[in-house]
Amino acid sequence: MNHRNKIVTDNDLQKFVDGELSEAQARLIAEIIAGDETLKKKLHEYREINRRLLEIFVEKHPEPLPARFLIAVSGRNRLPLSRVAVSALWLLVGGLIGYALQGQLDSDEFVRPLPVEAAFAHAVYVPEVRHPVEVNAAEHEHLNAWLSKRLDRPIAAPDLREAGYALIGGRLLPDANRPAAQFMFEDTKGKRITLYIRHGIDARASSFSYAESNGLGIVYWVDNGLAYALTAAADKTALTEAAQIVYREVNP
Amino acid sequence: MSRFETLLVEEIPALRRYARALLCGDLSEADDLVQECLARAVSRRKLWIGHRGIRPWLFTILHNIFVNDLRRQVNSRFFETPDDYAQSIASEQDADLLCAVSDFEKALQQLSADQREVLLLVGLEQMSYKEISKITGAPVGTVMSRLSRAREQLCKCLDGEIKIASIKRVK
Repeated sequence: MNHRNKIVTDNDLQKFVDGELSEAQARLIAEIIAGDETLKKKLHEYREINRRLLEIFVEKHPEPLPARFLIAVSGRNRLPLSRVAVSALWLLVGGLIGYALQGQLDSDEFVRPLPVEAAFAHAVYVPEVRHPVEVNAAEHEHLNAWLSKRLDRPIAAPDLREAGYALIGGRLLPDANRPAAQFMFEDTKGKRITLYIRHGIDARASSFSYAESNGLGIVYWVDNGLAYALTAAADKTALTEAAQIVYREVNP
Repeated sequence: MSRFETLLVEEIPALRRYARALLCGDLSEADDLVQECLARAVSRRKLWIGHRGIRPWLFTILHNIFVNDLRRQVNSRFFETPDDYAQSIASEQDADLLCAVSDFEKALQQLSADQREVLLLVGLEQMSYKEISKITGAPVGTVMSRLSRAREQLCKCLDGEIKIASIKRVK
């Protein structure tokens, strides 16, 4: 073959670098490249790209495999709900601790960021079978009156039936030396969503923010001096829709 | 552990390395992707044809999850709020993540997902065009053009480095 007439296209060069050519083809291309500075430079760059990819991503010291991979491989990843919740709690403790410390550094008192506090409260009380709430939805009015008194602001459980959740009840919680409130709701399948409310120490009125950790999504915002966080094992879209209902309920 | 399980475990480091590269070094997201891939592989183990290597099969599963996740992200990009000025803290974290990496890695992050995918399967995982075509479901011609565009972008980045180095030398 007369290789002087052969033009090396970019595809030829790619195939050459990636070992996609037969031996004879590769030899021919190599000869042409040897006599062409532009091709030589390009070849060098293509090889340099591959070299860097390996340098960046191939681990020099292989890490031990996380247990969750081995659990996934064994197919024993369907834990009972309560165990999932407990492990989620521990993961939250670990995963959000840096975030919590960040909050501590930013303020004089020990105030954990709203999504952290709300996720903790969610993970602690949602798995409860017998005592998920202190005051049951049957005593709805008493619940609202009691929490309003303790938070020193008018508080009312929003109506989330539009989003498919019925009120179970609520409880009082400690938060940075001031009482906070948690309302819990449940859909017909038993899936629970919680609304955490505390004094708006975080900021002035703000738009919705979103955080997530280990399968829990948290939409949170500050409105009229109170900070709200809606938490559930649901996706951002579903949570945002529910949060919009809460917002409308609070601002009729 | 069954033979299937042993084979899966052996592939975890490769899947993890690839997922990390694909997701630009986001370790927790990469691990989620790998875990999801393993869980799906286990639930669909009957669909694996033993004589075919397990790696291309696993990479195909991983590719499908990755592409679906991307689609979902695009759909949920518009985060509406009652007062219409939403700020997602996630995007701020992403911005932080972009810092402290080399220009080469930045250029890699700026490639489109399908270009980066092909480049990594070739350069990092040393797969053939035919294997990549099977994994991504794209014809070999498309694989090659994505690869070519990806390399073109990264070459620009390398050229830039040379220029900067020569300017420094002149000083």
